[in-house]
Amino acid sequence: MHNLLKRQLKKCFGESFQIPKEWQKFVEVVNDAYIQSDIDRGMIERSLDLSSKELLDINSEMRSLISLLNATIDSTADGILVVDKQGKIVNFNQKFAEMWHIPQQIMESRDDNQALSFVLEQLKDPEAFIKKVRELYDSPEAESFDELYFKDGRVFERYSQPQRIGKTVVGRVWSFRDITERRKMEEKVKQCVSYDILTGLPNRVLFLDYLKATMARADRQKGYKFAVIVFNIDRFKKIIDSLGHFAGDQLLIKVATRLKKHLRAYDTVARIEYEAIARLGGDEFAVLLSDIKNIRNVISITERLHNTIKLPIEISDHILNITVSMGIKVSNPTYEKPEDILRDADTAMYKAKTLGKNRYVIFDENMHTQAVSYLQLENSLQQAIEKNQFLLNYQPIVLLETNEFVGFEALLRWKSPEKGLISPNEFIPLAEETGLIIPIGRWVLLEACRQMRSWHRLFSAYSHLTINVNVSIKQYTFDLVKAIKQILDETGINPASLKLEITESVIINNPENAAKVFLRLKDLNIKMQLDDFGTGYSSLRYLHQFPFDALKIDKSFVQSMCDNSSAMEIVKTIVTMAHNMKMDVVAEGVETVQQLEELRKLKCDYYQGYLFSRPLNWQDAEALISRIIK
Amino acid sequence: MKIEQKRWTQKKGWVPDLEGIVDESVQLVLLFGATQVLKDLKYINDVKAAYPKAHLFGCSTAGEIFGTQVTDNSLVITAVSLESTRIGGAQVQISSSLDSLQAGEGLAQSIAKDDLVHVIVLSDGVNVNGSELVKGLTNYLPEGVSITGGLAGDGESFQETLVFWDGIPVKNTISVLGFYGKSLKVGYGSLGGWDPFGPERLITRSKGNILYELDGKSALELYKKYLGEHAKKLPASGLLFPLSLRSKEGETGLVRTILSVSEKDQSMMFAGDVPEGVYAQLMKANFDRLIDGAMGAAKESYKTIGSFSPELAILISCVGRKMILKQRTEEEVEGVREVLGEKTVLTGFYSYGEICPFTQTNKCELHNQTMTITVLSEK
Repeated sequence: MHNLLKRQLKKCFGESFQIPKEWQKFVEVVNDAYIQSDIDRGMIERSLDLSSKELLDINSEMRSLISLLNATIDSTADGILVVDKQGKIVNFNQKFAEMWHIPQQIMESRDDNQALSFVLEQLKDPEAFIKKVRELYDSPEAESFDELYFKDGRVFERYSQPQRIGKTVVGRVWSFRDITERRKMEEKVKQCVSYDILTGLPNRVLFLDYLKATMARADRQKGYKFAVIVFNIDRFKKIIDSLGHFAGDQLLIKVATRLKKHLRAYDTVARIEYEAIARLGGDEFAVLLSDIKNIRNVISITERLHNTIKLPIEISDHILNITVSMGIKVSNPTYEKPEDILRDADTAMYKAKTLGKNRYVIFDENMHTQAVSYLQLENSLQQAIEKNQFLLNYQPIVLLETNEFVGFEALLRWKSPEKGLISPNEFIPLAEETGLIIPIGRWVLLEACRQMRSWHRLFSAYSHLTINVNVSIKQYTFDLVKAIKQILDETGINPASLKLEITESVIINNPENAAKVFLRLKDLNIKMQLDDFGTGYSSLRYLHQFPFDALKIDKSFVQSMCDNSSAMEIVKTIVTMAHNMKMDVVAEGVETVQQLEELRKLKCDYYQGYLFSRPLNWQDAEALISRIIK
Repeated sequence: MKIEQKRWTQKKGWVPDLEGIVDESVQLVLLFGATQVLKDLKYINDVKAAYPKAHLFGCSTAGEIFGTQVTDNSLVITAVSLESTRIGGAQVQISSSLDSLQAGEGLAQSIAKDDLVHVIVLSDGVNVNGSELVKGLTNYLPEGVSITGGLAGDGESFQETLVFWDGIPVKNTISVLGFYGKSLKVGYGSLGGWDPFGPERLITRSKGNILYELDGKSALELYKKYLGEHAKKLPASGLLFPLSLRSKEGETGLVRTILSVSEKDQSMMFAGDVPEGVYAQLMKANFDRLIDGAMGAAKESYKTIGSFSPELAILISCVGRKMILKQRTEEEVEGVREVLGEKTVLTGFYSYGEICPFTQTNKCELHNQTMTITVLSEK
């Protein structure tokens, strides 16, 4: 029987109480209830103990988790702040307080308003930040990311995400990362990609970006015009060759500095905004002028720019007087790509170069067409060498006194399968510009010598026949001497049979060098003739230094001498002067008997021209020789 | 509706006497009895003889309710003569090729749908996943047809439960009883009165209604720890600590109770699904709360019928409650009587699971550890 029931019965009915039979069942039921109650209570107590213990275990697990979490938070390089749904500070790490310079006592007070005012004070745009905070306060589920810019130049990345327990949002975690250094590095990289390292000016890539933006603006804004000026330094290569690359760099830096100084955001004289200056590469610079009213503005600013750059520059103890060639392109709506505008400004600049440098040229549409055909020509010229499309014509040269022909001038012709026969005037300038003149010139020399040598063999009685070959200014280097030696060896021609024709420009360009090459050629026993005399500088000074064998009078004088007394005077003077200097005179372009008679009177030595014969192909030339022999 | 109730006990036989009665007006007899009593077909034959035209619908139990009395090892019959309501029923046996969901769907499909107002389902209590059964039934029953019922019991032994519609009581069987006609009023309510305690635990490993792990640890071990010396009485003693399941914050917990344990794979089988990712919390009983729960269920059913005393109330209460309440078991039935009034005939049984729509969502669910009441009236 249950102890309690036993005691209760004794207490109420005495020690010797015996349960009456009719009570037996009742007492049993009560006894069961007592026992069951004990069992139930035991079970409840047990489960209470167990769950208390479980909860304690979980609690201590949580504590260690929290300490681990706090240690983790404190050890990150990010500043972390945790707030509850009302915005009250729940947690933060030391890094947060450090990054934001928030005093410890404020953080410990957990007063979010005070902390926020500290935060706002430091930001460049506090309104935007407070707006974002409010937005996120209204949408607790939102995640967000942006960047914060500080008054002191720092940049923070800001992440914010809801803090959830299970699926319920209970607050918000803010984390801040100082990316100031990273941003600086990025700027540096960007600088390298978009800016020229030497001058610090924007490079071609960035300039094209500016140009693109300006084009877009022109598209949107009716009547908005802009212009691009491109220029480079004339004879820059020469400066490098003589003063070295370092000096070249110094020059570019100084030019860039002058540009920057000269061009301000708004030119008060020309009333033009300038958007950008750039170094496109090498010695080439570009300026983008925006919102121009008319071309006069642009010309005015270009001229002043030109004059500024032309001022003497001191580089490595040298005073340099540089000039620039400038190309201008004014916008029009047909352009689609910024590259095209730049290309056309470039074309205009090259036009300025060919027109004699030290000037500006405004692009017009013809230039583009020319430029394009020029490019095509260059391509075909390249192929012409490979495909053997060149040939030589031979114009007889005649001794005036006896009317006896003594040799030929070899004339280059290009037989293009597409365009037929092309005159040298059309392709020689290009060949000179592109350097193709070297292989072409060598071929001419070789072919002329080979042909003449073969005629010498064929007509041994005429082995005194000579061959004149024109040499371009670009060819006229020490390499020419080498090449000629080789050709002489190769063909076995007598050097005395070879006469080289050069123009005055060859000498004027670099007299010192020209004289050296001249002497070496003379050493080879080759004859030298001065071509086109009278058209260029006609400088007598040089004639003394360069002992030419003959002067060739340009055909323009010869052809006008009968009608024009001054031309006659010039021819006369040339002949007299040449004879005084022991040089022969060759008249070019003799077409009439009258001209011939006048030349005879003047005691000109040789002539060539249609009067005697037009230039002949090799077969006809050969026929001419054989006819004379008979 | 005319109702008469009789009870057979070993000691007293049929009270009131059944001998000599032949009542052809009775269309339905509800039978709730102990497994052993049902297996002795003699008593069922007695019933069939007395009510030759009646359909027989019933199951084995863990305690029979006869008025406000709760008895074990008895057979309680309730003979019902309906005025205008018609009834129909169906039965299916689950097997390896027919699972609980399919069985529910099959039953719902086989029963006539015209004028159908309510379905009572009685199911095998140890081999059926009650959640799946309910899902199957609701899939094919017309909207607006309510379902109540329960899982058959086998005392506290969880061995063999029997169910029958007309034929003889058999294992692995599910039966449904349908009521047809507009004059029948049906009400229902289901309440537990258990309190969750201790930490919430995440179900980390389970499959259907088989639970393996809570918070990555063996669920069976946890139960043994809490049960202490009562662990040797598993699975029955597991009913002392049902599980409250909730998948969402603030959701009303579903109560799940143990049907069987397997020492071999350290698992516990529950009467309904225990899905992974759901939080579970142990629950404990409190006498007063249990009895309040039963009365609450009665009030709920009373409210849905229109607040008048119903003619018949079928009480299906969980065996777990009976194990806790022991001598006080009848107090919960008395509580129901107090609410419904003296005129209502009370019958029913202690079950291994209860089926009833949730009051808030009206979605039919399998419950555990509740008192579930279905009230019927033709008035």
